[in-house]
Amino acid sequence: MNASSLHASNFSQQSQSFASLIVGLRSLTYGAKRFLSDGVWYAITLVGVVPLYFLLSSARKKMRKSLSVQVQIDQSNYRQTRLEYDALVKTIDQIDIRHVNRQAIPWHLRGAARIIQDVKNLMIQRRDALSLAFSALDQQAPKTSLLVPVDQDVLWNRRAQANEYR
Amino acid sequence: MLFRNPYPFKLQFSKEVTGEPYIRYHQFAFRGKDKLRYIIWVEEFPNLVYGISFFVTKLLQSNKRYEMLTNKQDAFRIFATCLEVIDQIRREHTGASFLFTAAHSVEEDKDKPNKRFRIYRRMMADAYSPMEFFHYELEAKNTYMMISRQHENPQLVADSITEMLNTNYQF
Repeated sequence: MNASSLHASNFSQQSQSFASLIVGLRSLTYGAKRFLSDGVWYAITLVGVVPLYFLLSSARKKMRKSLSVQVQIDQSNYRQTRLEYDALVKTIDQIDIRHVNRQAIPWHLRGAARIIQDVKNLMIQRRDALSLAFSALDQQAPKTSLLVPVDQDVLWNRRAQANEYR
Repeated sequence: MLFRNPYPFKLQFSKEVTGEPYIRYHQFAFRGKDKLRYIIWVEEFPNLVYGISFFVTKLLQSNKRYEMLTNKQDAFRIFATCLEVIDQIRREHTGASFLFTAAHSVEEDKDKPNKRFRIYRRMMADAYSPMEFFHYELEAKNTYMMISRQHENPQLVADSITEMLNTNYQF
């Protein structure tokens, strides 16, 4: 495994861990709000915001470090890279906070929300770099008046993805 | 994986040919379920292009040899055996490309992609990475093609296949 793919693999794992963290926090919020009054919940978040901010910014720092936008796809890493891409698309979707009304976020949690958005932007950078590399693969296909190539994305979605290639 | 447990096969002979679009052919044989004999027929075209087809040996003389079904529920092992033949060829000839045309079964509508073609394209996507081959399909003709990325000039292969199909098979 070369340095670039090691970075990529770290970033991919960190992305999934980050998404799990956000999904967990979201569940905690929904769950806790059923049992606590708004005032109590506000007080808890006021206390918890410092460690939360520390945790999220630490995650952002590590992910910035392991982000690589240099993508080199070859026969040995194609399947792994495709799996990483699919996981990343799913992860970005999981941590999407676009639907959240920013004005509705309590003032003390806005910093944390900004970090989540920053991390999402890092993931988008990686996703776009992968997407570009996959498109480049399709561009290499020879074309004639008769032969229309099948894009790698179509091929990938047609197969049982858990299987290794021959 | 669906396409596993291939039958053991052997190359029976290879023969040079003149007056055909292919330059030689290779005949592989194996025994399937209930010891039914099959032939895998490999036509070798210029630029390391191989056309693969198979049929039951007893239908060798029949015009409908590619269209008949055996109803032995053995298709996936037979396809797996064809994949083994492809693997053998690509091991022996770096840069080999492959071509298949799926025949309609007797009862199938000839205007639609047939069942065999749908299986072939699934099988090829499953078995061979787009990093190894450029994949092509001509749905209207139920033809699937893979051009090797390892060939020194894939565009030449694509051009020669197009010319060959247009000239000889009215594509």
